[in-house]
Amino acid sequence: MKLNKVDVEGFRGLVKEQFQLDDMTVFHGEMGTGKTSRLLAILYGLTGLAPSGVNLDEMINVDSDHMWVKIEGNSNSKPFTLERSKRLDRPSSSKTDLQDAPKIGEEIFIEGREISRLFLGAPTEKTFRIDALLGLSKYNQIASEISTAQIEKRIEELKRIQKDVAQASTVKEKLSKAESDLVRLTEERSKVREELDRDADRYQRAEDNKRRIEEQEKRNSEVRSKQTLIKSYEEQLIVLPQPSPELEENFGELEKRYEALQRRATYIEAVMQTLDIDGKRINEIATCPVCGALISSNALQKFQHHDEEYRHIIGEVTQLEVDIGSKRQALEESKRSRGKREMLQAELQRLKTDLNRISTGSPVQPGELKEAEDVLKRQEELSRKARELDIRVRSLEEQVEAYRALFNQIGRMTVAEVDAKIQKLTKLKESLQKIKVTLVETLSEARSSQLDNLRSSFKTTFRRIYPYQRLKDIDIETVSVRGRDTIQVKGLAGGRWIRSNQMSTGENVAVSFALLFAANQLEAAPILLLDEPEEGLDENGVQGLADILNTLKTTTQMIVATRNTQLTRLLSPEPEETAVA
Amino acid sequence: MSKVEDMLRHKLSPEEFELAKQIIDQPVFKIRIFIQEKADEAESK
Repeated sequence: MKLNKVDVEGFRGLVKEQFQLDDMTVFHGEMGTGKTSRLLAILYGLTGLAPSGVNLDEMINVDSDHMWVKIEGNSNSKPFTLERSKRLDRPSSSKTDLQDAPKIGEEIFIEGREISRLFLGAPTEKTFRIDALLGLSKYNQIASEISTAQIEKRIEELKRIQKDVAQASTVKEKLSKAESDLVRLTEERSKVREELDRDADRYQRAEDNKRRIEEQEKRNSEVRSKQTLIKSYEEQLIVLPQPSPELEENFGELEKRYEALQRRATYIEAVMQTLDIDGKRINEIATCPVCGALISSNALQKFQHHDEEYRHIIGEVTQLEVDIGSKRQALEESKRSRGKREMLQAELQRLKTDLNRISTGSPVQPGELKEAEDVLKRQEELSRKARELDIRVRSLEEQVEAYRALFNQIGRMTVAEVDAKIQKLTKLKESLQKIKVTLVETLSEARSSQLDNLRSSFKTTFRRIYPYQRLKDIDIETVSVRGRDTIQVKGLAGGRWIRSNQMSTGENVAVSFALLFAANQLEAAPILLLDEPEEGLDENGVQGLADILNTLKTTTQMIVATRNTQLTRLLSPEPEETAVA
Repeated sequence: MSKVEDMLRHKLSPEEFELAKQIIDQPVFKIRIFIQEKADEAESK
């Protein structure tokens, strides 16, 4: 793959630019003239990505609401174009006629000021970066994605089906029996329902008759009860004493006589009391107020007839009280008897009226009730049987449906067919397991082999960038950290090995580039975007870096952004000069 | 073909390597789907 031309609009500081690309392209200019923007535009055009930690919207020119990059080039000797654009707060869109594009990630963009930190991160990060440099990381991911769990699950399922298939004849027998039972019970149910429907009128009549007979029985019972009561009341009336009107009349006269005598006695008592007051008033009274006779001083003797009358009255009153007392009890008994008689007569009248009102209806024939009850009992038996048959038919229908579904699933397969499926899946599973195991082993071997190749290339390249003597030698070694093989760089200084974090920044830059380019020789990237790679290097280091880059450009298209005039001169006789627009 | 793939070619049978190559050429996120498709294919043949 080779990129030839790039058109850019609204990308960072690039309002509208077009630039050509060669095997080695150098963007040279002062700070802020758009060198890095050109590299990032190419990165965005190729991958749709921004460097780690940068939001794509931040790439859009501050005076624009969208950015656009178009790349033209050749891939497998065929021309292609690749366009990518993005509006603020919208996803990127792209179109291209490029087929079988090589896999390119953000790792093609390398900043010189970051390269020195390549080996200063965490051990796991170093491993990742080194595997990425060796082109092995994707195989790690592939190995972890190869799984046979689903296939194993399906094989188990097929084994279960195989057992069912072996029992298919049993299932068929069960299905056949269930179907025949279903037919028999359905016919039986139809007959029962037909009988119920046919005799519906008969059942209705029987029910009406039973109700009528029961009501008649109830009425007869009521009549019998009332007749018993009437008989009882009439017997009571016969033995009840007759009332005596003469007794009541005689008793009334006695009471009237008694009251008159009482009044006379009271009068005489009042007169006699008046006459008896200290004898004083007697002298003042000329005549007797009762008889009109002249009153003398011995008037009491003259009114002796009052005393006699009084005594007579008192005697008669006493006799009357005795008579009245003796007759009062008989009179009260006579009154009670009359009240009871009237009550019994009223009750008798009511009962007789009730009896007349109660309709006797048609008489109940012997055996009529039993006949109605027998008919209704038959109806109840048939209804219960119909309900039971409904339940059994429904159950059988479900059973038949389940057997048919099972039979449809397994009935079309043979044990041999299922066995063949299991064999094929087992073979696929074993192949995948072998591929996975082999891939992991191969990765380990490849890493080891590539590290051996890397080691010699790394040492040579380092020497070209670093022509000094403080580090007499450098080397790489694998160290297991938390179960993962990691690579650590070491340098021989003052007779002992030191780690990268004990080296200077320039030494780290040289080490990083040496490893980067050595790795690129093993697995060449199609393109590298280097942003000020000379950062941290002196003139000798820049010379060595230029030599290496000129060597690499035969396999990898190099696009370099730099302010360094020396590097520019060494890399390109005709650099792309950038300037503030 | 990468060196890893070349090494794999020597260790696997031609059929196994063909399958391995098909897996390697898949986008990583599609590998499990691809394996399931291969299983369905094997079962339906």
